[in-house]
Order: sequence, then C-alpha cells, then structure tokens
Amino acid sequence: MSATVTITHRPQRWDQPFCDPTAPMDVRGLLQQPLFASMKPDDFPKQIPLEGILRNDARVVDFEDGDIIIREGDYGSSAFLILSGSVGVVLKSLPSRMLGRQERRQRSLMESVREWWQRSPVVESRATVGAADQNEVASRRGRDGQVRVYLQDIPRILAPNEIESMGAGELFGEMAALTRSPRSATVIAQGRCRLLEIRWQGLRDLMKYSPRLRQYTAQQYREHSLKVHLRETPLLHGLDERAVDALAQNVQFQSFGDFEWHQPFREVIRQDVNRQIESEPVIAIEGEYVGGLYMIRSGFVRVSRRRGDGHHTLTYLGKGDYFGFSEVLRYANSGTSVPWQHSFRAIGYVDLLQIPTSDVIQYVLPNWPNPKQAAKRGREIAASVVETLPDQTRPKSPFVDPTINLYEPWARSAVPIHEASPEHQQRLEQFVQRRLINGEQAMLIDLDRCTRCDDCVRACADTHQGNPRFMRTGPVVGHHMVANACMHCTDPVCLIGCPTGAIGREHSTGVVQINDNTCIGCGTCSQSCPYENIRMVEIFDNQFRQQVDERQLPILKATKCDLCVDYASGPACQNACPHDALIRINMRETDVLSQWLDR
Amino acid sequence: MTETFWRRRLRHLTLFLLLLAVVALWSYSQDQHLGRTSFPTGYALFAIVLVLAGYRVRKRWHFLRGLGTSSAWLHFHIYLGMAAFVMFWLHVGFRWPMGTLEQILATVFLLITGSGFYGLYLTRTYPKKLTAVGNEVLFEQIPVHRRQLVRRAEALALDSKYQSEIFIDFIDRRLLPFLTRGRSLYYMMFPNGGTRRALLTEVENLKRYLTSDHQNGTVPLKRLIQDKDDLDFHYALQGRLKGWLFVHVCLTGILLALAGLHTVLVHVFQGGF
Repeated sequence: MSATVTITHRPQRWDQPFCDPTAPMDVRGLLQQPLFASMKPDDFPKQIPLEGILRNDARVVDFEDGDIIIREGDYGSSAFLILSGSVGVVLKSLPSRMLGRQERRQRSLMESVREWWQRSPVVESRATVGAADQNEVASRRGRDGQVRVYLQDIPRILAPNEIESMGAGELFGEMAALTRSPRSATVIAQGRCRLLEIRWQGLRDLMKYSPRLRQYTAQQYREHSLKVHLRETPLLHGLDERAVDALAQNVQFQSFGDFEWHQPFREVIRQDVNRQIESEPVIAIEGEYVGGLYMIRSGFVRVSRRRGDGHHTLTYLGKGDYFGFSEVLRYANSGTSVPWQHSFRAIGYVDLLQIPTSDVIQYVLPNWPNPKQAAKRGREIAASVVETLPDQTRPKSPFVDPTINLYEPWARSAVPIHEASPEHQQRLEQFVQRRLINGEQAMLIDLDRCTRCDDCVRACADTHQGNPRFMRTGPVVGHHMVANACMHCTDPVCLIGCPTGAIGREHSTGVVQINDNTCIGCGTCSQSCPYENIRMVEIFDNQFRQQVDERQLPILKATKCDLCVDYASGPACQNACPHDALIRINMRETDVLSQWLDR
Repeated sequence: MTETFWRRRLRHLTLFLLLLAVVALWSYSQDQHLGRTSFPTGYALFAIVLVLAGYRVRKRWHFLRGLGTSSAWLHFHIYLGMAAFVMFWLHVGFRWPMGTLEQILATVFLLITGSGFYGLYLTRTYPKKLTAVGNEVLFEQIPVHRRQLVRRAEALALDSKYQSEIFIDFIDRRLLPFLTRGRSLYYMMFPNGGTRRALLTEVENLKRYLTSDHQNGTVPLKRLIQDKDDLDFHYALQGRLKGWLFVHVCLTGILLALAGLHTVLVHVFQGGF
C-alpha cells in the first residue's frame, strides 16, 4: 500500500451555498423586504452576517400556477418567504397520487450485481474531494433542477374553502424546518410566484438574532399551521369551523425541557432512575388541579404514578398523543373537579398545546360521543377504549380517583402497576431513561437467539463500501440489545447544527441520511447524536491513498446506517440474520414492540 | 406467539415427514420390482447437497438478498439437511459402502450431517448461556479486554491504599498469571467456574491476614477475577459457535469435490446400465 497522501482543500461552512453559485443573489433587493428590513444587521455576529446568511443559506425559486411547493407529510429542512405572487395552503389531505409522489427508485438485481462486481477493494474509498465535484453535486441537490409536480384543474379538486391564501411577505414551512417534523400541509402556487427558500441553518440564525422574527413565527403558526394541526387531531375530528377558529385563538403553547437535551444526555443516563425522573420538568403532577387538555406537538412525555417514595413509569407518550381528556370529561359530567390521575413529565424537550378546560367543554365535548358510543366511532376513536384501573392501584393521595375511566389511547398500553412484570417494568424504565423511545427504526437484537455470528455486520459492510454502518454493541435491556445503529429518530437531534445541511430526512421515507458529497466532516452530527450512532471515518481514494488537506490532516466523513433504502429487500442487517434475532422497529409502536420482545 | 411458532414448526415437520414417506415408499417399491434406485437417489442427493451449499453463497453475495431472508434459507437448510440424511441412506441401501472412495465420501457426509446437528444444538442453546453471563463482548475484542484487565490489576497493585505484602503477592503470584494466560483445553471443551471459585475462595481466605483498610481492596480483586472468567467463558462459547461453522463449511467443500469425483467415476464405470 502506498504511503503517499492526496492534498486537498478542507471544506468550510458556506463552501456549499444553498443557491446556484453561478447566479448570484440580489442581497440588497432582499434586504428591502419588510421581514429583513426590520432586522438590524448589527445584531448579527461578524462571522455570520445577515447578508452572508441571505447569500449562502437562501435562494430564489420561481413557481408556476398549480406547482406543488411543499407536500403534506414530507420532511423538509427549509422555509419559504413569499417575494411576489401568492400561494395556497391546502386545508385538506390530498391523495398521494395527486401530490406526484413517486416510489423511490431501488436498485435492480442487475445493478446490484454490477455494483458488487465493480466494488472497490479499498474500504471507505471516495473520488477525490474537490471543488468541481462538490459544485456538481450541489447543483444536483438544488431544487431548481427538479421536475415540479403541479395540480391540474384545481377548482375541481379543491373547493374555495379548502384552500387558504398567503401573500407577499409571508413566511411558511418554518415550523417543520425548525422542529424537524413532517410538513403539516400541502402548499401550491396560485399563479406565478417568486419565493425565497431559506434552509434551516439560516433560518435558525435569523431567528436567533431577530426577536421580531421569533414573534412573527409564533403568530404565523397560530394563524395557519395550528388550524391544520387541530383539524388533524383525531380527538377533534368533526369540529366545525367556528370551533376550530375559537380553539386556535385560545390554545396556549407550552414548552418543557431543554431544546438541546442531547448535550447533557450522557451524564443524565448514568443517574439513578428516581433521581432522573425527579429532575425531569413536570408538566402535571398527580393529585393536582387539571388546567385543560394537553396535546403533544413534539417530544416525549413520561406517564408515571407515585409508588412509595419513588415513581412507577406506566408508559411514554409522543407526538400526536394527548392527556387530560378523561379528567376534563369527568368534570364535565359530574361537575366535580377531578385532579390529575397520573404525573406527566417532559423527557428531553416537549412542545405542547393546551386547550383550557372551558374550551374543551364548550367546543370539544359536544362533538364527543358518550362512553357507550365511543367504541363505535371509527378506528381512531375506538383506540380510546374505556378502561378502568383496578382498585388495588389506588395511590396514597386521597385526591386521586383510581376508578376513573381513561379515554386516552395511551391508556391501553399502560400496564397497571400491580400487573406489570418486573421484566416489563425494567424494560420500560430503561427504554425511557436511555431515550431509546426516540427510535423509529431502532435495531433490537434478541441475545437469547443471537449466535454472535456477525452476519448482520458483514451484510452491512458488503452493502456500504466495505465498512459496516453500525456496531453490534449497545445497551442491553433484559436479553435484548439496542445496537449502536442509527435509529432514525422521531426527534433527530443530529440534524441540529449541521453547517451545510448534509444530514437530513429523506423526503418520502423519513430516513435520516447523510449526503456524502456535502458533508464537510466537522463531526457536529456525530457529537450531537446522543446514542453514539454516527461515526467519523477517514477516507481514501481508489489507489489506497488517504485523503488529507493542505495541513496533512485527514479528511473525514460522517457515516451511519441509511436503512438500505436503495434496496428493495430492506435493511441488510435484518435480512442477513439467520436466527430472526434482529429487527428494525419503531419504539413508539408499543404493541408491536411488546409482541416481539415477549415472543 | 409461542403457539404460532410451535404450530408452524409442527406444520413444516409434518409436510417434511410426508414427503420423506413418499420418497421412501417409491424407493421401496422400486426395490421390490428389482429397479435401480441408486442413480435417481444419487442425483437427488447431489442436488440437495448443492442447494445446501448454496446457502453459503446466498450469505456471501449480498445482491442475492432478494431470494429470501437468511432466516428463511436457514429454515429450509435445516429441513433439507435432514432430507439429505434420509436420502443418503436410501442411496446406499442402508448398508455401509464398500469402495474406499465411497467410504471416505460417506464418512465426510456423516461428519457434515453430525456437525450440522451439533451446530443446531449450539445455536439453540449457547446464546442463552452467553446472555446469562452478561458482559456482552465482541469476540474480536476479547484480547483487548484481557489487556485492560491486566492494566487494572497492575494499577491495583500500585495503589497506595492497598500496599500490603500479602495483597501484592496474591496479585503477582495468582492473579496476573490467571489474567495473562489462556485457559486449558479442558476448559475450552467444558467451560466451568472451578478456577473462578477457587480464586474467589483464596481471596476470601486472604481477608483474615489483611487490615480492614486493605480488605476493601478485595472487592476490585474479586471483580477482576469475575470479569476475566466471564471473558474466558465468552471466548470459549463464541469460539465454538464460530468454530463449528468453520468445520461445517470446510467439510462441505471436501464433500462437493468428492461427490463430483464419485459422480464421474460411477458414470465411467457404470458398465452398461
């Protein structure tokens, strides 16, 4: 093997501007826009000036009438400011075919064979990193080059009241970009329009240094996204426009915990369980006054009950779940105030919407059937089966009524204290304490079946340039290991701080992927990942020569599991396990999870 | 879930036995009519062996993943392996072959079959034993962990808190050899906790010669012994899980070569049949 090295330029932030470098931005013109005119350039630090953000983290995009700008359910990492023209927010869910979604193109057998035949003997080999290559890839990433999908005959598809217009100067898509959540609505162009697309790294900095933009974002959310969110909540299905408008006005935003919860995470998980629970921000505590119905917008909530001097975790809730409904309903039916039946604590960072009790009674309950009818109300509401807690679970607090019926869907999976086996309880506590509940594609290995043959690791390496994208190590809970493989988290904190946006969610599948061509090897994602599932690797060229920069320091790239999205047969690791000991599983699907764990 | 598993197992086993019964009846019927079954059963056996060996190819070439999961292949491999065993006896007419090549071939085949059943036993029982021990460790990293244990022991010996002649003597004379040396062949064949218990008892007996301060040092000492013994246990069991497969695969290569030669020879010397 040759000992020589290839000297190249070390990539920097803004090496890869968001816009086409051959078509410079009219930054002065943009600064005249009301949104930016209200910002003070002096508020921005020298190394991240306002002009720099606009020049490098934004680009101007033109759309024609009917063009779909963003699609509901997509993961996006940018927001749009309307420069001219208008766009329409579709207030109902459109079928996938209308949105022009296409199946991801997967490798054919012949392509796989060719790839295998031509594979490089060098582990982690890449074409030499150079400006020309990066520019070429950056232009490929640019959305300008993509074929746009448009809606034909809009009046036939959408009634006037199913679309809400937004005009010049308004911003949209910022919540999804900032909260790393799927787009909540489809937005289409109404006539010709010109938009400024700002990637989330730029938006984050703009919000950081502009208080007005922060306020503006909250106001925009209340006026637009919130109504869509409320309409899509199964609990609120059937509410008329007047009720939704009233709720949108009265809903209160609440946040608990630290947005960057992953920073102190490694110290937190070493704590004693009780100490950790006590350190978690309290949303509601059992026995206390109920202020209304809470709906989780993002993050996770621990549901627990007091047991002796400690806390017994019953279950965990995530985005889309709600709590407090049973207590409000009981109050509405009996006229007697019912305290919280459980304690709710923020695990990491939680965004909540609170509907005050009076609004629930006035707007929501009239649309809610009585308990006997509840089971008949479709799949969504049927999940909210009526359950009665056994008498023996009666806690010490005289305020708690353990016989109260629970109408929240999560009550189904919450095993009452005295029915939970020690194994189940240990598992639940560990999954919550280690925040493994964040995983949408966590790799679980049943150690009672795993023969430690490493076929999974070999299959992964064969599929990924000779280097596996995971390690068969990780926390062991009972006889199950949660391996160090990317879990494609519900709250992917690894996306925070990537200076070039190289790491992001794949639009159609939700898989968190790294764009190798724009990764500058800064290691931010690797350090952010609380589960240590992203590894930095040194890269080589096809002649076995290590790639280094002018200072002889190695060029690094972030690598992680990509769930083999390009292969029809699914994740290679799961496919390669001879003993059915390995599975990729969504930790939020508690029924499926329990079934697999208890098989 | 368990019921489904057993029901599935029962269904597959019943189908398998029915198929074997049909083949056995056909063979018996051919025999009764003075028919020659050695060629059809030989070809069938060779085809089965090829398919069985194909599992290795399926595992090595990742682009063949579309042909089914490895787990489904293994399931099929096990049943087909059992079918091969029956087919072998039908092929040789339930008699030990006479020719030298055929005897070698039969021996290799039976060795493979035996190693297959042994592997089945290992893969169904050893994972639970390894899990019960805990301290999950990658086989390739065991030497690294051993070196770490030695460093921990040396650090313990140099710790001023435990500067006792008896303490240091034990580490030097008993613990370090245990940590640095490999285990005996007997242990590798039959891993057991004898040495661990003996050493722990020795440490316990040392206590009465130590001051109360120095006695605290026996806790990390015991931990070291337990950790090393767990590592050795993992090494023995994981080594065997890998070893049997190596033997199984190597024998398969030999079998394929011998079976090919056997096929050529029987055609060359078939004598007009």
